[in-house]
Amino acid sequence: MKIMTCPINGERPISEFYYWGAIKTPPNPDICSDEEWSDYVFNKNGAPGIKKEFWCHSPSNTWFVAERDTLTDTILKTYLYDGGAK
Amino acid sequence: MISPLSFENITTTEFAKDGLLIKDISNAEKFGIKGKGAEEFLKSQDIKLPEKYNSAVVDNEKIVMRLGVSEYLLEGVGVSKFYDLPKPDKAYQVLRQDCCLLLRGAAIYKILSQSCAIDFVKANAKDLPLFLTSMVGVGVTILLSEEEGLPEVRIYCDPTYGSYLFKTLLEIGGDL
Amino acid sequence: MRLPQQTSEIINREKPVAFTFEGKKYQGFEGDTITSALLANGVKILGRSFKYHRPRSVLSFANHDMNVIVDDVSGQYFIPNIRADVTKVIDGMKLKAVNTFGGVENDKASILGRFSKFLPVGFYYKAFHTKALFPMWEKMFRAMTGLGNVDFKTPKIKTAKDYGFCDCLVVGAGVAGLSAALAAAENGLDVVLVDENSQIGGSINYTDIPNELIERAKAASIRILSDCYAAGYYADNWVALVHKTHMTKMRAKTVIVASGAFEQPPVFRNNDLPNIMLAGAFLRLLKLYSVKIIENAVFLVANDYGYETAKTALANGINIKAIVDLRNGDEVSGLEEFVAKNIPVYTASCIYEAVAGKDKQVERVKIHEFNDGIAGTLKAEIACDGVVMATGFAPALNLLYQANTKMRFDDALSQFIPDVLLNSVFACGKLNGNYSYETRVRDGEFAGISAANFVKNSKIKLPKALAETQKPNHPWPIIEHEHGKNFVDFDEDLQLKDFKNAVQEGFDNIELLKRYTTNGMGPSQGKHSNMNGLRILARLTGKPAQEVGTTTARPFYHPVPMKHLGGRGFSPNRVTPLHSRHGALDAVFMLAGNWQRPEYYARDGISRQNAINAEVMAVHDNVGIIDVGTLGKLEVIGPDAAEFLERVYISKYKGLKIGNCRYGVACDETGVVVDDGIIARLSDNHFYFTTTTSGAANIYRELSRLNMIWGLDCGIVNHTGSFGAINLAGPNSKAVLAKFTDLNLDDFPFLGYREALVAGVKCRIIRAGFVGELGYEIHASALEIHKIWDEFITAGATPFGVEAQRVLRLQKGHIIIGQDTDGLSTPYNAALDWALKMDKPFFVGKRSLEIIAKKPKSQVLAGFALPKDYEGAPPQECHLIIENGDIVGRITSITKSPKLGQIIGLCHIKPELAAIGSEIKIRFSNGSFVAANIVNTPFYDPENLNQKGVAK
Repeated sequence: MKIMTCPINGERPISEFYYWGAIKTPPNPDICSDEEWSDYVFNKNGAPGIKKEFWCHSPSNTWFVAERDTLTDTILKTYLYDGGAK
Repeated sequence: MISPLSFENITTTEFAKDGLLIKDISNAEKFGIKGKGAEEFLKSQDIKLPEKYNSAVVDNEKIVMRLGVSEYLLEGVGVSKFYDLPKPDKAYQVLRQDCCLLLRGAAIYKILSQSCAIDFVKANAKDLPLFLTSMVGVGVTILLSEEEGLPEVRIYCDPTYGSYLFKTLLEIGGDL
Repeated sequence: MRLPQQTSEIINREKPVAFTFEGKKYQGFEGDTITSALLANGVKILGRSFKYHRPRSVLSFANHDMNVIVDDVSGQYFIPNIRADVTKVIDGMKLKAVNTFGGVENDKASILGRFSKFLPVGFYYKAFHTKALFPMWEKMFRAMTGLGNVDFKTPKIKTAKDYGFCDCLVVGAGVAGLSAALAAAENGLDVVLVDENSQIGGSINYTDIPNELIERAKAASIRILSDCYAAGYYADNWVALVHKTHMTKMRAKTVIVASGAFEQPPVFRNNDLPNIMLAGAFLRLLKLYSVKIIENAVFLVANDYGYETAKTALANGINIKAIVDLRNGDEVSGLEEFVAKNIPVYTASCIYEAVAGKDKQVERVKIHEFNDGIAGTLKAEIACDGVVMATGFAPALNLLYQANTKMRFDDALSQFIPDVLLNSVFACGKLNGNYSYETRVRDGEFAGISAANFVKNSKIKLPKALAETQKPNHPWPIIEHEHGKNFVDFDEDLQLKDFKNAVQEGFDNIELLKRYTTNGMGPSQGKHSNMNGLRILARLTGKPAQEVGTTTARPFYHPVPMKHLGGRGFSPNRVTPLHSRHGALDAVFMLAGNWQRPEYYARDGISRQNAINAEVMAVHDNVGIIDVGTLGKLEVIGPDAAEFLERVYISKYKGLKIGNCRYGVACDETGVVVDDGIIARLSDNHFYFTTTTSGAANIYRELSRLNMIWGLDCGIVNHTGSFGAINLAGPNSKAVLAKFTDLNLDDFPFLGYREALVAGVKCRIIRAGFVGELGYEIHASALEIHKIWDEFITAGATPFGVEAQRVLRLQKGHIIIGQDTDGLSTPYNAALDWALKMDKPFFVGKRSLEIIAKKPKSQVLAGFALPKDYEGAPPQECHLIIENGDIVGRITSITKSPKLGQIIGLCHIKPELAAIGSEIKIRFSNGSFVAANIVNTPFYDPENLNQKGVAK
């Protein structure tokens, strides 16, 4: 059972977490084309590598960012979301 | 005040055997508040606050628990009066109807190790640490402390899961 | 026979144990395993092999082979597949060997051995062509194959599972493991040491190795768990430890694997005869159980261990008729003692063939010249009653494979060695290529200190590694024989030629070879056969072992009882605050997710359907109450609360007046409808809103995330569990409510929101119309809502359940998210476009909906009804709508409305077929059809007069 470190609650079994998905910056919906928007909404990068993702520690409802190397299945770091795009 | 165990008509609220006590203490008064303004509100009510995330302090016979960064759960006589007071900006009150179960005695580690993936033996009970985690499939907040040298935990959970949690802990305790 | 008492034995002669095997009575002692007790009693045949039903006895005596498996039929239910070599015998056991026809002595199925020519490897892929005969073959194979019998009376037994924690888990308490555990503990780590045997110490207990490590370990503060094996290694040093009574999920900061090596059988004709065994089996029977089953032994060796074992045999009064060494004379040393006793030692020799006597046990062996796998001329034929084999080991790397370890094949040692390990996993001992006592001890120290350095982030000096001089593993202990029966895998009865056949047919890759031959797929999972299989494949393909590779090892290392895996089976049960009330009213409960909800309330002498209909009619004619406490209940508070809601839901809320409610539909970023509810405005900055029961946790979590990234000035609170809720509905609902509140109900319009005391309890009241009659949804704190329910019941309200609610809402055409919507439903095709406000600057899903709006709809949601006089079986949800042989839609909800007296429903349907009045054809599961018509919704009270409370 993999361990994930919640930035607030510390190390926990990964079953306590909810994986939301990779963080993607949306194109500006007011000016982008339909193709650009569809690509943003539906296409995900499946190539192994370092992913930046939203995760949530369910018992405490703590949302945070995890950087994971999906090639080696290693969690590199976790930290609270520090702002950014909408 | 009734206890959430009444949802399933559970009338036995205490279980004791050598080295172990499991007790329903849900009917203690509770108050919850969260948000960036929560600290300001509690300080304005002269409540002593824990400095560290996920820890508790005892202030004048009230238990003040800090859940994570900016959520607080207070337990003790008189805390429910805070519900009716005006709140400052960014202070959002939370109606607390939790089921709360007390486990006390040397044998509690055996129940905890069957139900929860946290190493309580190595934790420092004197710090009054809080653990927000999952126990037998239910989200819980666990406060670890000690009383006269015996370890003690208070387990808070959503009232709608209370009777399931109580029955399950009793089953584990009974089999020890 | 049983030898006189000796200090090394672990049996308790004070406690005799009586049991039966194959119908005969035997006696053993407490501490005996089933096999040691049987052998002490002179039983010669302990089992029959899987395919050819050949007579078998002990081979490894270490749970590395499955020659002796028994069922115990003594209790109230059978216990099948007991591994007799390692299971303690208990008084009263009634044992029988598995997989025999007529018992282990005279198994009739042994005739299969004669047909082995027709049962080559993979024969089942080729032999069965006539499909008509399949039932006959199936019946035959079901009777013939399989091992123990499953007893269907076996009760479900729950055992505890617990979590464990330590700094260092050491797997294996042999020399290296003990040394590692001590080094780790002495450097401050909290150590857990596990061993599958009931005694720790491994070979210390049956060879001449000093036992000081055992004494020191017991005295140190190390948690020692014997009779406990590590069944598997999982992510982040999580190891499943299986005890006799339960399982521990151990999380270790470091893991040291010292699980040793499996003794490997050499491959020669009839190497599986009873009383041909591995050296470890011989030694352990002799020293731990005081069982001697050989008087005149032949030893087949290729290492020092074989000679040490021979010396032990001599010391215990066993005659050695010959020692056969596969190696050349110049590689062998230490023969003086044997030469002095006139024991012939044949070097560069092999056992070409073992021959059985009348009792089916080995009675003589043929010793031939041995030259790299080929037997040369006969050197001697020796009579004997047992053969002891010590030609090499294969490392027990199972856990390390699971821990992503890369292995390297060491040609000099002829074994795989762990090469690249995870930084918190360490290996030591025989599996690391160390076979001498000193090197094993040193290797263990090295691992223990390395573990301490990892945990403490320290730089404690590591001991210098000692070079291992022993080379105990013969690279090719395999002897060709034209008549075969030289077994590689004893579980599967695989002979050398089976491998040749497989490679010849093209299965020349280790993974294919395994699966085609089934090598290593039997109950011992390759412990005694994988290495030889690999060697054979390497030779046949001319590739080096490193290139051939190994198959991986998956959990579990030994089988784990199902009850250990099942554990207590926690399954959270969620109840509303009114649960006990429902029970008292004879509710029949159903599971809705985790929640217990009343499906309906049982009525004496009345069928389920009629009870549901009565509940429906009570709501239409009088007043009913339903517990809707499972609904999600959220609040958003702050200056940006309305802005927040406008971004999340598809409608507008900034203009919603205080004291009013509005329906809310939430979409995801692709424009698909994901949830709905009612949103009430309590003040400028405060909204209270509901979600679906199943969506509550997801919506709260996702809204928290959106709040985090949008950074609006508002907070979200989840009150789902802390509030209960009751829907009071029916033409008399207002009158009933009026009895218990001072709230002016005449100033409470449809879609209004009020706060008031009801039955003395502070409440939030929403006037909505999900069930289509005048009604009030009353929310109050979980610990007080029962007071309101009790009063309403006393006032004569009829409790109604989920089924009645579903009928009522369907009569109004109200959708249920996830039932009438699916993964492609948008507001456009789920009849929710009326709620869509595309002129908002932003809401989740808006941009996608702009794209979708431009495309033609592939389906719409429409109401349909069957003719009033239709008497047949009703169609079900998901029955398809067919037009010209094509699927054009499906039913999403359907019911027979007691109020309307006809079958109504909602369906997804192609837009061109959705005109009001058109006929649709619904197909039943059996292929027959029924016709229905598209009709307008709501089906009942189309003007919504009742729900608005303005009906005449």
